Amino acid sequence: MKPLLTSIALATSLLAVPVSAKEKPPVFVEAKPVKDSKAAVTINPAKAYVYVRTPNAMPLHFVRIPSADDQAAYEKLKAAAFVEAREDYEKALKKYERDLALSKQSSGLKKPKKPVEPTEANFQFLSFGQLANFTVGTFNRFQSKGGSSYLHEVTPGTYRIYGQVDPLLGFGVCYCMGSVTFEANAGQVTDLGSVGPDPANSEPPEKGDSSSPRFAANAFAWTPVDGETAIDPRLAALTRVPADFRAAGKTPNYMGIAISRIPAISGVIGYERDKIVDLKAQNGTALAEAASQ
Amino acid sequence: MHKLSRALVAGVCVLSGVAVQAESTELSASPFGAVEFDAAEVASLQMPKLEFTATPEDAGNYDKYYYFRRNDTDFATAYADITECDGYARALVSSFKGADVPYPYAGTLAGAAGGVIANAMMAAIFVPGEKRRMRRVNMRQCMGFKGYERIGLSKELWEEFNFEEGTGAEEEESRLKALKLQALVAASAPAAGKVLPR
Repeated sequence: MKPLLTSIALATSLLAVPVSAKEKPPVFVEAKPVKDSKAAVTINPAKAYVYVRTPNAMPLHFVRIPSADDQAAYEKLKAAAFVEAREDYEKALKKYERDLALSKQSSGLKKPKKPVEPTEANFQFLSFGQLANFTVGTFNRFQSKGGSSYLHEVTPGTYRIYGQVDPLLGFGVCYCMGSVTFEANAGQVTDLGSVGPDPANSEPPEKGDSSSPRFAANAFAWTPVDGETAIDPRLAALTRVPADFRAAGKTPNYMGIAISRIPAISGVIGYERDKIVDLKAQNGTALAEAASQ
Repeated sequence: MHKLSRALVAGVCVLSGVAVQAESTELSASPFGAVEFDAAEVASLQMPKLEFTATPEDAGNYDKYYYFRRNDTDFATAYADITECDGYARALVSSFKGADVPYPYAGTLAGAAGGVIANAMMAAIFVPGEKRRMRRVNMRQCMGFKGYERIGLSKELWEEFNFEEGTGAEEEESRLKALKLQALVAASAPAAGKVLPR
């Protein structure tokens, strides 16, 4: 089995029938790991690269923030799915009416259940993020000896750090109650910094406390790159930029996993209870006000 | 109907995991949209009984049976908070928008990409006991972030206004009734009892 298994690739492979017989479903994100090798890395100028240091092998999931084109494609997809659902409903309704008539003729037959009519108000469709995402790890580390890191080639765009989870495994932690986004631009390595245990939340739960979020929903801290951050020599010749993290809002827990939030990042995101504080925006406003005085 | 103003993303996330979350000016808004309640119904709610004499067995089960409370919190705020947390804690997020029955799309592309995979995996991995535990974990995490205290309760009293989800989802009507009672407790219970770790 090839190591590259993004959720999008899996989704595509599982399609019994495309959205329309004539149309291929859109692939919003393509991603693959850059393998560990002694050679210097060569990059594809049309692709973006994300690099992250981790304490060990672990999964990290990212969802794409839709561009205007993405949004239009998504809406088209959703509309096509709605049409399909309506067609399915019409068939189910006819079957229901047939079965109902039969059940009235025979006392031994159970009354059929009327199908629910799909409407624009009740129609549930996947979120864009469920269709446009990529997962880094657990396998295919870029560095696994003397440190740990991942380097992934991805479709350029803006991404949200969704959490510490591989959807294929189905358990992990969602940063549902606060996270950050960053841009990954073509032809360069976007350095996400380091991920590691959060010192402010590293105490073990009390003995016997089976529902403590401390262990089950423990979010790792993200430390952005600074002047002291070591750089893998294999990346030295490439254009590298520190990720410009921006505070992002809450998101549904569509994988049904443990929930948390990305720990506060100095100058980027903070919290007042569950209120997300966009520190970068605050700093920008403060600087703009100072400049205008 | 009393409409909460805290959740401002109505129309963006009409149904759970359904729509693209457009950029919101309110980062902290619930991703599940605004919640509504009938003020008359809320006025008729009876405050659940919380007083009891704790036995060692009760104290040993406080990781399962507890309630949330917070000072200076009105019912509307508590209900918005507890329904948001319930949204993260239920197996698959769902709408709180009321009477319409959600129509889950299980067609070609959509079914393959997310829900079907997630559902199958959750069913395979999480036995009912684990699902119940994870619900507690997520409720504690979410309500803890929101600054609510957690107070231990006996199982008998807890069962009067709470529910567990292991093998199946709680019916929507009884779910909302329980969430309203939990919100009533969260907003009105006096500061009493041992405050447990979040």
